Amino acid sequence: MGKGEYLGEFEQIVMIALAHLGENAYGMTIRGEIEKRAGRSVSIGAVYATLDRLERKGYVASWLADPTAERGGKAKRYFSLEPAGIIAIQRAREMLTNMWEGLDWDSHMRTL
Amino acid sequence: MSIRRRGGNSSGRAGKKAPCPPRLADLILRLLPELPRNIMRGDLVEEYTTLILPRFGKKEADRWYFRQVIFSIGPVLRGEIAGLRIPPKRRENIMETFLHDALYAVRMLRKNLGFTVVALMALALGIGANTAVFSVVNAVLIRPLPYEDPDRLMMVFESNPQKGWKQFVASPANFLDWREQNQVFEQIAATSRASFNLTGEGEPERIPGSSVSGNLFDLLGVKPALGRAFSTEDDRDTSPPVVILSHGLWQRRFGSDANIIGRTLTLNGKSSTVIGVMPAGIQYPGQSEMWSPLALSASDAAARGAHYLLVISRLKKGVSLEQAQNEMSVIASRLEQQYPATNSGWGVNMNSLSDRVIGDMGPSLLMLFGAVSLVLLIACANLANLLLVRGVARQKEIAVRSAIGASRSRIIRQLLTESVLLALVGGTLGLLLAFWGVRALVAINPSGVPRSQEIGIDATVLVFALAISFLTGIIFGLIPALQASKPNLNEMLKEGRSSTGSLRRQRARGFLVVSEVALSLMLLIGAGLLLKSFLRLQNENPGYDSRNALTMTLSLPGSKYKENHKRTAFFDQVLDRFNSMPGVESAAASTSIPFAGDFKWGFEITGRPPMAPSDVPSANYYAVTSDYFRAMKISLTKGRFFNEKDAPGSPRVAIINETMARRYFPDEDPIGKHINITNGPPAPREIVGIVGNVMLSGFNIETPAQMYEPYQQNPASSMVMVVRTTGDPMEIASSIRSQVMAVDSEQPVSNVKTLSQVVSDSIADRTFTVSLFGSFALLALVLAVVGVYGVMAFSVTQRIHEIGIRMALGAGRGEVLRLMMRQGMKPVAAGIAIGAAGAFALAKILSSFSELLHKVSVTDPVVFVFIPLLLGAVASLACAIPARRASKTDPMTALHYE
Repeated sequence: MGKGEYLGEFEQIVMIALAHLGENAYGMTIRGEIEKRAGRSVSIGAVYATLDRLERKGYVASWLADPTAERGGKAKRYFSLEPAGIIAIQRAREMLTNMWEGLDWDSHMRTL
Repeated sequence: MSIRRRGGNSSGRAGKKAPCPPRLADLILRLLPELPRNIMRGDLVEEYTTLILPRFGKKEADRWYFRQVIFSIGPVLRGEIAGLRIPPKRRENIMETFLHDALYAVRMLRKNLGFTVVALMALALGIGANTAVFSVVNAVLIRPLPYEDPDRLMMVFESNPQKGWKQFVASPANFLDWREQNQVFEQIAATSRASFNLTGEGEPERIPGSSVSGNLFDLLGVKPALGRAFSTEDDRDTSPPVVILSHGLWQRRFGSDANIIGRTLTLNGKSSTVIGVMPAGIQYPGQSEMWSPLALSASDAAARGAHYLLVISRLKKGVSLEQAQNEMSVIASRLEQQYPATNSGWGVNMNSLSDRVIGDMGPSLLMLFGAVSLVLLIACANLANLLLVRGVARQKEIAVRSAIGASRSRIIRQLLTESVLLALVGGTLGLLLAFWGVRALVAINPSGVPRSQEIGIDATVLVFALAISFLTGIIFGLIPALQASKPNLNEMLKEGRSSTGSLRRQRARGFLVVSEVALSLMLLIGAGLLLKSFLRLQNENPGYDSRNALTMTLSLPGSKYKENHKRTAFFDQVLDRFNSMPGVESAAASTSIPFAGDFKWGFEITGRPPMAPSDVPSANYYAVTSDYFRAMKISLTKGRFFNEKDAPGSPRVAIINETMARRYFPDEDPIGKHINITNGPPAPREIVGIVGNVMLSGFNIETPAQMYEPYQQNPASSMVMVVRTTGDPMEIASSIRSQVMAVDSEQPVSNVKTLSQVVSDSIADRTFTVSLFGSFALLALVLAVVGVYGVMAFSVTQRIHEIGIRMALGAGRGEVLRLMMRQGMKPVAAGIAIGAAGAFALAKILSSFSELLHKVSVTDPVVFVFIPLLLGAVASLACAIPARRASKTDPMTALHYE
């Protein structure tokens, strides 16, 4: 697996947010989902930059929808996970789980 | 601050009241590219109005909005930049991608064959012309001279500011003192023009060459290809005569004979031994084909008043031209004090060998290069326009490509691949044109361009052609690619009918037309001024008739024709034979003719107070046969021409020109006055006639004082023959040769040319500049007109529906025509206004280049009025054709037109 195919932490967060939101995943809702679940305040720009990167890697797809009045006449860009993205996020999760497995965490805590 | 959502409801109450996030934040947001900005702003506005504003109030919501904007700029810009880079995964496939792009480009270009052919033609012409001019610039200005360390080679001239002689050949005694006293030169050498009559080896031939100091080739850093160079021993007047041949002469005359060294040749009636052959390309000075040692005799070496040596030097390492000039000036003033009779008023003037070789051609060439670059720029604007137009037609294709996942950078790359590919193919065609063009250039003009034999397509030129092709592809492809890759998907979806494209695209096209028209007007006005000045020169009365006259040089070898009576007998016989030939009106001879090099001699007017030698005035001097004025058709102002009575024993006479009469006899009649010409023993000549001025080289310098003397009274060994014919002078050229051979079978005839050829050779560099500049201007005009037409024709096609509506609503044909013309001519008018201003600046530059504009003002009203009108007329014609088509539209057809 090439270096470019590992997912960064924020990339994972964004992808999981997409999975939670399903068909309602666009800029504002994704940002809100991350704030709600991770308790982390992020800028909309950071979210888009990450989504663009994931799109270039082929992990997410996007499409434009009609503009609405409440958005000041601007179009909405919806996002969804691609099959490659689903595989990548699962692999990231497995990797972490494998790393944790069989670890006697309590003994480490005692040495602190 | 952590702001939590109140709920999932995203419809809110928006729509009733317009949300108003802080304007300043929106302005900051404008730093971002349009597409991500719009979508992001949509999200921010939605969240601001539906969630943040109701919950936290205006002030807090505004602060939230600001924070969002500020912290978004960085990541988005970084992301955009990263998106333009090639992702690592694809880097390995770059070749594959490129091939794919290239193949696709080939398919697209083949699909639009009409466009491709027009584009290739424009590119081939633009790039070809640039490459051809560059190959001249390369040979003349860029490629170093074929000598070792050529930057240290300097010419050393004498100068006499009082007489207006900036660079004058040196006298032998001064040269020898320079060699003795200077500390700045590694070496210094002198050369003197010489010609060698080669006889006894087939047809006699006059070979141009030089007598040179023994160290010349060592100074230049040139080793002979065969044999050896001159030694100091060779450079003595007592040593046996030796010669060195140029590579060309060795090949041409001696069939590259490997055993040439040691062979004896008969030169000027004396035998000389060949000791060496120089490598190809070495012909210093001038176009020398043969060299002999200078071998100054003791009396030659003592001469300080006779100036005939061209001096070249090699600076010591680390010595600058300025330092050398300073030291030589000190030496010159020392000599001036030491030998006031000959040296007063004489200084030293140095310049580099390369400046001397390039001469006046440097600025002219750079100007031509500038002009041809403008032509390429116009071609680029033209192509960009065509591509913009095509971009509109390809909007759907590009929208589909981006819809199925092509990123913007991917689309730009694809479009640029197309334009670069187009430019490279055009460049290849251009290179072929350049091959042909360079040949034509060299053929137009062998004498007008220095180092013209070196002009050709070499590696440097190939790299240049490749580089400008590539650059051209990027330049004309970039704006259209940027425009086309930014399709507004929403508009695309909604738009059923095609239009003239976005306002921005229309503006880009207008801008391109304005610049094309402006650039081509600049070139046209420049060419107009040059042409007018050139024609004015040609129409000036030169003082003689150059039509139907043949000229040639006969140089008698000193050994065979030592005595004066032998020389006069030879020339008299030859002239008699010429005169008896059918088709010959009259034949005459002179020591030199206009444009073929002039001799200057000092003169004193008898009865006036004596002058210091340095104050003696000088005039161009000609020894002529009695028929010379009739053969040249030079007019007699006063007195008489020479006749047979002006023989060797008769009283000596002279004829002067109008300038000399006006300048030196302002208030008296020169006829009957006596002048003493300072060549040879003093003998006063009575002025018997005044003749019209004969214009000299380049036309545009004021005719100097000229004086004539009967050839019989002062015979020379080298004469230029002038044969006035009734028909085409070249027809008698071969029989002329045989007439000379009949008098002396060993006498070569050289420089056989018509008089008009001699004249046109003398202005060859000007002809070269004017004809090239003119063709570039014409090319520019054609390109600009094609551009105007293309834009107009496209706009008519795109607006046909609108025109249909207008006509259906009652607009007349005239109105439609006016509407379309107004639209088309607006950028043309702007271009003409800008171009006229630019042309004014260009003309100023032209006038500063060595008198390129002769008797023509930089603001010549005829040129500045006529040419813009001409361009306007041609452009309106280009507009009128499509506009007329628009006005003839049938409204019903137009309304149905999709």
